[in-house]
Amino acid sequence: MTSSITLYLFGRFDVAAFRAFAESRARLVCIDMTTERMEGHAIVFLLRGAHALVGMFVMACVIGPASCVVSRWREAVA
Amino acid sequence: MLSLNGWVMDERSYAARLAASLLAIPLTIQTDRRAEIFGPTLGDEEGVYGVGLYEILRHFSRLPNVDRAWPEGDSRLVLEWALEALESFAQARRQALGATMPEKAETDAITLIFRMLEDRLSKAFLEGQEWLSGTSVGFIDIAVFPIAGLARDLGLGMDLYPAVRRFVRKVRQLPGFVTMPGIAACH
Amino acid sequence: MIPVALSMDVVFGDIVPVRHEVQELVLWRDEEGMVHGWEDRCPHRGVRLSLGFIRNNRLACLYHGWQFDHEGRCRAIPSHPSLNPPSTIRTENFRVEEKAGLIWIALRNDAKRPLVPPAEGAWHGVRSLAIRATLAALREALVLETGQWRVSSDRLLAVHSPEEEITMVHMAVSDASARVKAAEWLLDLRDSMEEIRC
Repeated sequence: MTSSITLYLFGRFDVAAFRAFAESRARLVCIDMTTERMEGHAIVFLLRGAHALVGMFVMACVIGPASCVVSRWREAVA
Repeated sequence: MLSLNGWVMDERSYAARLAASLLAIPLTIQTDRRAEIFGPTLGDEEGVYGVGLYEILRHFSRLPNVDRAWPEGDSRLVLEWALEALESFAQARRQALGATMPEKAETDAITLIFRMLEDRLSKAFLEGQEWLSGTSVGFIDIAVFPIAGLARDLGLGMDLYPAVRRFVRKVRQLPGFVTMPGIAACH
Repeated sequence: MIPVALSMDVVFGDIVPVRHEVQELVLWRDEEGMVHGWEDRCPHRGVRLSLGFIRNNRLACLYHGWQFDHEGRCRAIPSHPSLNPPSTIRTENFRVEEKAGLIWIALRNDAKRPLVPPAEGAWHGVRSLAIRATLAALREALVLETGQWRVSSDRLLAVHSPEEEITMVHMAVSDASARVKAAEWLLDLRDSMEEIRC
């Protein structure tokens, strides 16, 4: 089952680190990831792929790399 | 029914519990935090039969349905070494787990213990001896098992100890094997 | 290729951590008897695969139970039982050979040194012993100028480097009845090497 969602992340981000992390994770779980917004306090991804794999990606982002803090997040069906 | 007063995180209590399970000795467990300092005790409604692991294991060896010999001669020396090693290991592990900052848990004394254990296990294997206690798993093996099984808590590089790894795997496969926190259940 | 373990120390069901220089690896033997050597890191959250367990003829990670088959491909993710994991989820693998009673692994930086393990004859593993001495000191003691192994009469000696100050010496003999004596020799070697260090 394919999911298309928009993922909104708010917090404090090291943009370069988060971008590298997200790209690597998207490759690992084999989903399509498009970056809509990438700023120090807000990141927005458009995600498309198998439901479970998109879920894994979301989980990984919410935990995030060591230099970033996600204080708030939400998903919306794209 | 025999009752063990022990503490789930205490390595000596674990050895007693493991012995009872491997030797099919019915045992109830009571939690007694004092075991952390003084080691476990064994008793029943009629009295106390053992204070500390040595006495507990010795009591087990005298039970009617237990066919494991109590080590004598050279084997007794090995058992005494094993019990002393377990005490040292328990202290070092307590320190490592209770430390507020990461510290080097592997002291020279600990390294020597693992070296000796690896030497003994390796020699036994080459000589075709299944267990440190002989042809069946026995009290010496039980006394050292917590050391081998919990080595990770001291950050030891287990790549250096192939015979210890083999020993851990063999014990895990025995019917009646039980774990304690720090020894993975699934393997 | 780097000798990292004795064959007899990697039986089916064994999961063997190995360190060599900066590399951290895991070895395991499958039901068919083939040995696999991977980076000791689960692609999921980086936990050591050497802490894992064998399940369904695969190596499973202790953390979330992700199972990896003989090719290193993830085949099962317990939290998503009906998911067919994409082929992108896989371990970092190295070529492994089993020769002369030892397990040899080809690491990335090995390309310039295509050293070949000894192929002739039957060898019987004696012991893999950690000696607290540098590789340089062992090379001198064993008269092993280059390469990771040498044969002298009936003994095969091979080395790898788990730490800068610790060298693993693997020993095998061509005559099985000589194993016990060879092990004693190895202990003498350790005693003399470590005495020098003090």
